[in-house]
Amino acid sequence: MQNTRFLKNYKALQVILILIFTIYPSITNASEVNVYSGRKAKLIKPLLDQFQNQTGIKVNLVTAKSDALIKRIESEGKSSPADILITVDAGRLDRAKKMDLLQSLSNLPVIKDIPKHYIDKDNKWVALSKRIRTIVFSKENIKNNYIKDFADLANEEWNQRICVRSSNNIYNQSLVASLIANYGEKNTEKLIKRVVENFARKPSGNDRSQIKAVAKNECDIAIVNHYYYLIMLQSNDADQREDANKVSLTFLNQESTGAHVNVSGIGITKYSKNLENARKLITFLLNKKSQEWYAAVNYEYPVLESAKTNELLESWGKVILDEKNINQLGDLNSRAVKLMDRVGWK
Amino acid sequence: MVPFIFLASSIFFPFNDNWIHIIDNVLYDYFFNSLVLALGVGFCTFIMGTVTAWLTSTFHFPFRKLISWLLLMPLSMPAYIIAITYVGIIDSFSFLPDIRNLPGAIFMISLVLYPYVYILARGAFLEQSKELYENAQILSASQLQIFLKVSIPMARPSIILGVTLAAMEALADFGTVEFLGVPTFTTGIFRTWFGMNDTVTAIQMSSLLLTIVFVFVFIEQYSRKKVRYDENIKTQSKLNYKIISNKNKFIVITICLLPLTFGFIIPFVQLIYWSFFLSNETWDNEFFQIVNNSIFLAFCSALIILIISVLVTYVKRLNPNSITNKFMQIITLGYAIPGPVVAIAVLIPFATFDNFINQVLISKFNYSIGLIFSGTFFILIFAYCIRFLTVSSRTIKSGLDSISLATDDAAKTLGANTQTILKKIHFPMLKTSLLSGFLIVFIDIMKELPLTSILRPFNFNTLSVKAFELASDEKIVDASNAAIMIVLAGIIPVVLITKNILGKRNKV
Repeated sequence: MQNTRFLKNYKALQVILILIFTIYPSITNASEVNVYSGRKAKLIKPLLDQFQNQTGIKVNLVTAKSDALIKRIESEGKSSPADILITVDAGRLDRAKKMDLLQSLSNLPVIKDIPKHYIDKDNKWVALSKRIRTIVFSKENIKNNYIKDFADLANEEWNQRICVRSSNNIYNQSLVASLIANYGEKNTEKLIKRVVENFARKPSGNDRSQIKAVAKNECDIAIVNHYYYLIMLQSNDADQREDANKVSLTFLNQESTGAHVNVSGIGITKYSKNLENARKLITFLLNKKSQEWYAAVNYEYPVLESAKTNELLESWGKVILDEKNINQLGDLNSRAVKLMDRVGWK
Repeated sequence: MVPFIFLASSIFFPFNDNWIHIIDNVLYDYFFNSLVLALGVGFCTFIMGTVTAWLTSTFHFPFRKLISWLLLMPLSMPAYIIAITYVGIIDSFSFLPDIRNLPGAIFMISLVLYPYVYILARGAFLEQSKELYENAQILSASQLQIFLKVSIPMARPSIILGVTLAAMEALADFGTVEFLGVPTFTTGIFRTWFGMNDTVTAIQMSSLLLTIVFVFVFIEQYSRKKVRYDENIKTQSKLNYKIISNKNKFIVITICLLPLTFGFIIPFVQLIYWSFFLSNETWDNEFFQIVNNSIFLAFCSALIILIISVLVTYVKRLNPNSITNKFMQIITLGYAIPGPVVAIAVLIPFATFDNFINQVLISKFNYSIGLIFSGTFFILIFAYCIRFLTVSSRTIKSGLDSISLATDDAAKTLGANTQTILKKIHFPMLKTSLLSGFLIVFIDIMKELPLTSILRPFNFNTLSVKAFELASDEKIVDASNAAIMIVLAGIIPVVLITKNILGKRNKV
C-alpha cells in the first residue's frame, strides 16, 4: 500500500511538472496574431488557416461568448495578448469600443471599399458579414403573403400564430433595438406587446425549431435569421429539407425602413502587440475571396459590395436593408431587453 | 478564497436602477422557477438514484454487473445535448409530450444528474454491514421497510450530498433551461450581464443565489449536526445479494433499465444515428487532437483537485473547528455559481496580479513576461478547483465520515501517527470514495463548458467546446461526433471505478 501511495504522489508530481511547462505560452514571436473570437471556430477558422498559409503569420485563436471575451480583454488590461476581437453583432463591438478596448482603423486602406454604415462612426470596428432577421410563413396556411411590415405581426389575425425564440437571444434583442431606433421606445413597446400576445407558444428552442414549428402547423409565422432557412433547405437531413420546403421566406419592411440587419464584425484591441499583423488579417478578411466565403459557407451576405453572393441569395434579388442604425444597436440593447421583460417576452 | 471575497464584495457596490427593473418584472419568475427546478431535480435524482442503487446493491439478478455500471453512463451526457436531442426526437413523433417547459427541464437535468446520487448511495449501501440487516430481519422487517428505515437513514450523508450536488448543478445550468424556454436565476444573471451589459448587477445576483444555497445547505447540516454516521459494529461481513423470484427479477431489471434507457440509450442511439448518417464532421487528426486535449486536461485537473480535496478533508477531520474549515464550507459551495461568473471572479484578481508583475518588471528591467497566471492553464485549473472542489471533497468526506473516530483512536493507541493512519487505514478504506470523486470530477470537466471556453489558452480546443459551438449554431447533427466522444471518454473511468466497487464485493 505504501508503494502505491508513493507512486501516486510521484505521478501527481510528474503531472504538475508537465503542467508547469505547458503553462508558459509561446513567447511572443514576430509573426503571429492573437484572435479572440465570438464567432464560432467552425465559421472563422478555415479563413484564418488560409491567412496563415498565405502569409506565414501564425494565427492563435480562442473562441467564446463575445461578452466573456470583452471582459477578458478588459481585465487583462495592458498585458492582454489579444490583437483582434471578432463578434457576431454590432452591439458587442460598440460595447468594447465604449470600454476603450479598441483602437482606430482609420488609415486601413481596405476600409474605403466598405459602405459607410458597416463601419463604426469612430472607425473602431468594421463589419465582416450581414445577417438579416425576418420571417418565414407556412405555405399551406398563408396562401397570399400580405405581411409587408414587421408592424403587421401585431395584427389580431395572427393571434396564436407566431413562433419565436427566447428574448435572451441577441438576434431578438437587436431586432427590438432597431425598432426602438426607428419608432421610439413607447411605440415599440405597444407594438411588441401586441406581437407577444400573438405568440403561439412560450418562446423556446432556436431558430430552426421555429421553422420546424411552422412546418408542423404549430404556428404559421416564425421570426428567424435568413440563413437558417437556407441551411435547412440545403441540409443532408431529408426531414429538415422537407420542413424548410413547407415554408416561404419573405423580407419585411421593403417599402418602409428596410429589413432588420445585424453584422458580425472585427476590431483591433487598444494594446495590440502585433499591430501590423492584425491589420493584415483584417485586410485579408475583407478581400473579395474571403467575403465570398461567408456567402458560400453560411449563406451570410458579404459587406464588400463587389463580392458575389451565393446562388440562393442571388435568387432573392436585392434586399433593402435597415442599415442606418447599425451603429446605434449597441446603445439601445439594454433598453430593448428591459422592454421585452416588461411586455413578458420570455 | 479571493474569488469568493470578490463575489461577496459585490454586495457593497451601489445597487443600480436595473435592480428595480428586475424586481418589478422578472425576479419572481426567476426565483420561482429556480426553486422548483432545484427541488424538482433534487427529488427526481433522489428517487432515481437511491432506488437503482438499492436494487443493484441488494438483489441478485441477471446482468446485475453490467447494469450497475451502465447506470452511471448518463452522467457523461451534457444536459443541453440531451435536451436538444430529445426535442429532436419529440419533433419527429408528435404523440410524445412536449418537454419545452419547467417539468421537462427538471426531467432532462435529472436524467443526467441522478448518477451523482446513485454512485454515492450505492457506495454507502455497499459499506453497510450485514449485522444491521440481520437485526432488522430479526425484528421481522420487510425488504421495503429495511430500505426505508435502515438503508436510507444510514446512507443519509451520501444521499444528501448527491442530491445537493445535482440541485446545485441544476441551479447553475444555463444551456438546458435556456433552450427549453425556462427563465431561471441563472438565465437572468446572463441576461443582465450580456443583454443589459451590467456586470455588477449580474454578480450581485450570483451572490444572492449563493446566499440562498448557503442557507439551504446550512439548515441541512445543522439538522444532523450532532449525529455521526459511523458504525461502531462494523465487521468484515458484508451483505450477500438476495436471491429473488423470476418475476421479481424482471421487475427489478425493468426499474433499473428505465433511467438508463431514457438517460443514455435513447439519446446515445440518436446521436450515433446522426453521426453516421447525417453529420458533415469528419473523424480527422484535428478531431483526435481535440479528444486528446480533453482527456489530458480532464485527467490532470481531476488528479490535482483530488489531491487538494484529500488535504482539505484531512484538515477538517483533524481540527474540526479550525477557521480553514469554515472557509472550506464556503468554497465548496462553488458548485452553485454559474460557470461564466466563476470565470470572471477568477479572471479579474489574477489578471490584476499579472498586470502588477508586468508593471514592476517593465519599470525595473524593461521586460514583460506576459500573463503568467491568467493567460495559461493555471487559471483554468484553478477555476476548475473552485467549481469542482465541492464534488470531490464532499465525496471524500462522506467516505471519511463513515470511518469511525474510534478506529483512529485505536490506531493511535497502537502507536500509529497521523501519516500511518492515513496510509494504512484511511487510504485503503477510502479507495471507493477517492475513485468516485475522481470519476465525477473527470466526467464533469470533460463536459464542462463556460470555464473551459472563456479561460482556455490560445489554440486549445476541447470536445465540450466543439460540441457546444456546433449545437448552439443549430448544428446538433454535426455536434454528435464530439458528444459521442465525451460519452465514450467517460466510459473509461466508469469501468475502472466499477471494477473497483464490484471487486470489493466479490472478494467477500
